[in-house]
Amino acid sequence: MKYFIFLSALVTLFSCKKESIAQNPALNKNFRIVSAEKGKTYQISIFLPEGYPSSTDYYPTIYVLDADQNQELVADQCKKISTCLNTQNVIVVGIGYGDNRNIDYTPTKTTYGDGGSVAFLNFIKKELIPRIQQDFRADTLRKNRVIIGHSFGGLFGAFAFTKHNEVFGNYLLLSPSLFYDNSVILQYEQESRPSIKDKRQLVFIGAGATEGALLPANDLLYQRLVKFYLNTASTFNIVGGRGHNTSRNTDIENAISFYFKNR
Amino acid sequence: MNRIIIIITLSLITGSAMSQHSGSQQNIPYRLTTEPAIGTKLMAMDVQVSNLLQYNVHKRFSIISHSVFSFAIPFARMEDVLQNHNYALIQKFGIGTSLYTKHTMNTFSFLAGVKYYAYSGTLDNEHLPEKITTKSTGTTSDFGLMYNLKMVRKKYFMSTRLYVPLKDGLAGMGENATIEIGAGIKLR
Repeated sequence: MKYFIFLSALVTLFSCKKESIAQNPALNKNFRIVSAEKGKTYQISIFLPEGYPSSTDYYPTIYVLDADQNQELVADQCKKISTCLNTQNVIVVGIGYGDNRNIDYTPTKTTYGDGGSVAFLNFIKKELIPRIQQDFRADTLRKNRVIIGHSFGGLFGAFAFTKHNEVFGNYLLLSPSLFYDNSVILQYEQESRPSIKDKRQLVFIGAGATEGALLPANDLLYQRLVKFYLNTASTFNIVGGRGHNTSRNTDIENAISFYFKNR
Repeated sequence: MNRIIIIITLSLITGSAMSQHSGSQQNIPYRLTTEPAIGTKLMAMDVQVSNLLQYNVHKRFSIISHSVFSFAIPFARMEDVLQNHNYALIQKFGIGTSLYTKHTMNTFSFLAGVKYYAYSGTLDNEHLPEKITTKSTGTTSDFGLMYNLKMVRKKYFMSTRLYVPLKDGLAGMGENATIEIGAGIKLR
């Protein structure tokens, strides 16, 4: 009997699940898009804001990399924080895998990645964003487009910031792998700085405090933003006691909060 | 998470009390042991040295102290980062219950404590004008479950331990689970 009660308690404990935004089919749209740029098919998942069906407003968009892992939490946080701040929510666009992330998210070819960022960014810029703006009431201004990514996803976000700054106005970089290929992103930033440093933009850099060697390159990017980018709102958010994967969810919460408070 | 900890703790206490009450009156092979070991994280290039002290209050119930010093081996893929230091000190205490076979003692325990971590690394890249040193230190809680297999050989024995942290869910388990192998000595 005692063991039955104990097991019942365990089952009850683990069966409790928070209601997610993904459970509302009216606000969740999915489609596949065949990329002419990449020659691959990408699964795109859209979470619309709650008031979307009944309004005529145009909304900012957040493009989420590694959507399978991150999109639901991003959408839930957007809903929670926009409600809390009583401000307009966003359309959350999840980009599923059409190609290996080691290809799409890496800027150069190395042992660890195949350097497909240019083609992937062209796909987002020339094919995905126009499709989203055609099918949904998505705001077309740069300042109302956000990209969020973790690890190699953050590396890709930093690549977009440095090399194709015209696409997004807000960059939420979670534990970005800026060490990649001898810190090539920091070299790109030096080259692009004259043309992008005066733009209004928002950059969130997050990392776990125990991520070790990932920290210095992120620290340097942040210090450069503070020193040279006078119109950029930026922060370097360290999650205490957490590592590369364990800091991700807290970083997502902090990044979304930073975006809504500073956009 | 707090509910999980309470349930695990209560089940360890209840289980050990019930099994004690059910009357296994055999001698305890060890009253007090010290078990130094070396180990590593399952998913990272960390090396750790540790010591586990276990005091068996009775045959099925023990009090445990687990002390760890771990240091990370620098990543070869981060070519331009010189690691000055990267280590952690962890001290946990907990309770456990044991199952016995003829030549083994299997202890399941819940441990909780404090972790201090410190990192310092210098980014030095010939293509970048800046040379920057970044430091990160702090303390954090650490708790989880440990399985300890002792291969019983009179005063000395072999100890193999698996520690699974509960603090950060599956991500934390993947990131911080450790395995240790060492020797044990019967003190009492």
